[in-house]
Amino acid sequence: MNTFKVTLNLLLFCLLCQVANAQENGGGRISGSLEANGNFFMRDSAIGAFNTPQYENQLYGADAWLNLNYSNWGFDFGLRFDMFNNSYLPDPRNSYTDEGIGRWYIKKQIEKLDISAGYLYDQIGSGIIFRAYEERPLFIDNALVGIRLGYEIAPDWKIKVFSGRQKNRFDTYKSVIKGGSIEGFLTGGEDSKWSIAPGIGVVNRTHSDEIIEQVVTTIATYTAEDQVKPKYNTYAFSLYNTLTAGAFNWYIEGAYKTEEVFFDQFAEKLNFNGSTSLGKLVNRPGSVVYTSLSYAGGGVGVTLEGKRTEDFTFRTNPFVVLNRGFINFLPPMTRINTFRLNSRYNAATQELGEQAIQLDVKYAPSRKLSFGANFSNITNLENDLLYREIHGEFTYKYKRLWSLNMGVQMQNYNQDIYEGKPGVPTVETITPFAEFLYKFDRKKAARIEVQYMNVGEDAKAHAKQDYGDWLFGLVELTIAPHWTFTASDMFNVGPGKNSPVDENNDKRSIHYPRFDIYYTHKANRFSLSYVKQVEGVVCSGGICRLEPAFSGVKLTVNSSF
Amino acid sequence: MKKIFFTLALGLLLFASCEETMITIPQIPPSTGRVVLMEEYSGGKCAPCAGAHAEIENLLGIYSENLIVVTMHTFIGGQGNPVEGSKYDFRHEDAQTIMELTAVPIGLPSGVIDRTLFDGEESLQVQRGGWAGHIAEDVAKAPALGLSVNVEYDDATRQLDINVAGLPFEDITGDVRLTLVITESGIVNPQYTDNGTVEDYVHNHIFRDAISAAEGDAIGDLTAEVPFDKKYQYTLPEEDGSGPWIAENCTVVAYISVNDSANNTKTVLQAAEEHLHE
Repeated sequence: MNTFKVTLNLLLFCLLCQVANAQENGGGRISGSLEANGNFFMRDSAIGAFNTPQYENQLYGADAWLNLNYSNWGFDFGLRFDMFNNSYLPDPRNSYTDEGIGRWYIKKQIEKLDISAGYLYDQIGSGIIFRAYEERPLFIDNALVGIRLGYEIAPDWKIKVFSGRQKNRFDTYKSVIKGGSIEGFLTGGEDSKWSIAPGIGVVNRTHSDEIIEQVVTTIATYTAEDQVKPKYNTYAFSLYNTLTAGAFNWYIEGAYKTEEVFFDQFAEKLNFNGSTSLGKLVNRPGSVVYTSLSYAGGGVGVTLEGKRTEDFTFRTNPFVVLNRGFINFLPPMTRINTFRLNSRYNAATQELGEQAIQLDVKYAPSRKLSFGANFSNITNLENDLLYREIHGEFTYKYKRLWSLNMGVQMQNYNQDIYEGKPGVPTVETITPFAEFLYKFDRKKAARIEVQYMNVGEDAKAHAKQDYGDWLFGLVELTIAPHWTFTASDMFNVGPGKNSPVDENNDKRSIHYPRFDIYYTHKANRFSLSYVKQVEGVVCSGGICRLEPAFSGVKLTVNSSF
Repeated sequence: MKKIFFTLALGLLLFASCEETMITIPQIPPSTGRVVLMEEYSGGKCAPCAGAHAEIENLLGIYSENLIVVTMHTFIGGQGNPVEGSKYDFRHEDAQTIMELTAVPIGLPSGVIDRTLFDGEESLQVQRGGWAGHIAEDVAKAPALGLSVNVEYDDATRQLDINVAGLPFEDITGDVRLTLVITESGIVNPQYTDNGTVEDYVHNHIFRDAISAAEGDAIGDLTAEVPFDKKYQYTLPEEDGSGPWIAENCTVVAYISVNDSANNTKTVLQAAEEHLHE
């Protein structure tokens, strides 16, 4: 490890030396970015923002990433410093402190061969069998620490192979991941209106002795009926193709994963005393079929997607949970909502069983007017509804003076499955929303958002479901090019079953205000925010986590150079 | 195109010999004398916790004398809260202190096994799927000391005279702590389960109070083969809002841990228990 650190320091040193050199003679190119967040925690037991080290003792937390890229002599180098001080990013209920080199890489192209080593981000197809990626708000950094070789075996045909281990904070998981793909591109000729981009990929994960030891000692505590035979190796294969024909585009991918041992929380387990409980290690193969058909032309855009997933959990370790250790990525099948209330309930991708369809239609009869509609429906493999969303909206633009966006969203959200709250009814919401943008002049503009979420009744609890009804309002003033001021409030206008209670056990209607000031100067952006945030699910690309309430002040700095 | 087919064929050949030697499942290893402490974090509104309790009883059946479970209810909120209308509220400040001393669970159910950070885990809190393997791992370790608890209970005064005796098998140095807690089983109180709320759910191994300091009492360095003992007294409360305090359902649990602030470890080396009515 010391050798590793020395090498890294030397690399950093060379890099910095070369910066000066490069600036003098123009021999290289350096670029980079900084993202830094500071959080000041202000305890508020009324909304559940308490009982974590940050609220009780530490009061302050910070995360930062400084990324440097340098190119010279036909090489690309990269180095990233990561820092977490009393951070709540990995686990919102605990505090995490560490710092170090979060990423480095070296890339070189030698004729048809490209070589990459270090912390690599990459994917095969749509990521169903392999995706190494970073999602900072969810503390996902699944870089593959290893080596990758790419070779152009024929014009428009490329083969890629890689081997390594997955990053785990400042360490790596023990399993070895290796794989490869062949991807091509074929067309009917220069004037042809069609093309295909086929590909085939394979990934193998080999467990370490330590993981297998933990698996077998766990299985040893099972009755004979529940015992399964684990293996060191699991293989995942996928075949994919994109067909483009005129205004149509069709992507299809099928993936299969060989048997592997994983924890199925819904599997019934027979205990030695004759009782049964849910949750055990099982040994099953998995499969995914995903397709997307889209059309764009004449002011119309239509996308139809479908996906079926069965037992396709593919992680570095069968015991890691939540968002840890993903080797792959299953594409989400719901609309990405940006408004505060419309994005309150999200459908996290289900690895073990999901059938989903989504239809998205956009129509713009003129430059002033456009319409959008979206429908998504997700069930488990037994056709029980997990999530349904119907979304319709229109946008009207009046000259360059103002624009209005209005619509309504209806959701059915299986809180039992998505948030692990058995017995609760499916949350039903109807959320009308409106956004109005007015430009005073070329520099000044005001934006107003209003949303109201009406939530269904929980007949058993004689109350509104979950937190009940919400009203959200936002006013934003932009003074270009530097300043943006935002004030918003999320008000629990009709408290529900889970809303906080007062000393008389009556439900409280609580305000969750937020004030932001943003200042932008060239490539630097600063923000200062006062935030009270209700507990909720935060998602990115179908990967979600339940975040507890937040109360405090946030300071962020983003810069690129 | 020949190159493409050649590459594909080569790839298929590489994966053709995928067969590996079958792994055999071992028998549960014989006891080494190590008694493992599992602090299980639970909550009345945690439906999956009911399944975890069944798993715990299964593990207790397998490891019998080599596993002690203390079920902690804390002020973590959400699923950790008692079901509305519960007769008893198991949440306890001392359980909260112990949780803050070790780690806050990312979700319930969760368990801390010997306060050990196991290989592959990011926290002392272990999710349910990992319990059996890590318990097996620790049960197989040679104990650093022998530990026993003797409890004299007076039904009339409800007073407990407790004697904890130990014999280190090796030198144990650093911030060595002895912690004594009392647990109660057989408590009927509502619990969320995967099948809805069960009003007459029977709760076992519930943390009721810390007899020593919740952080443990500092007992100094222990020398190999030099026995030690510590005496404690405790008066069992009458039934209150936290539980029934039925003597015959109560158990005194003792454990020795070493806090190493330099390495940020709080490992439990050995545990012992004694029921009030044996």
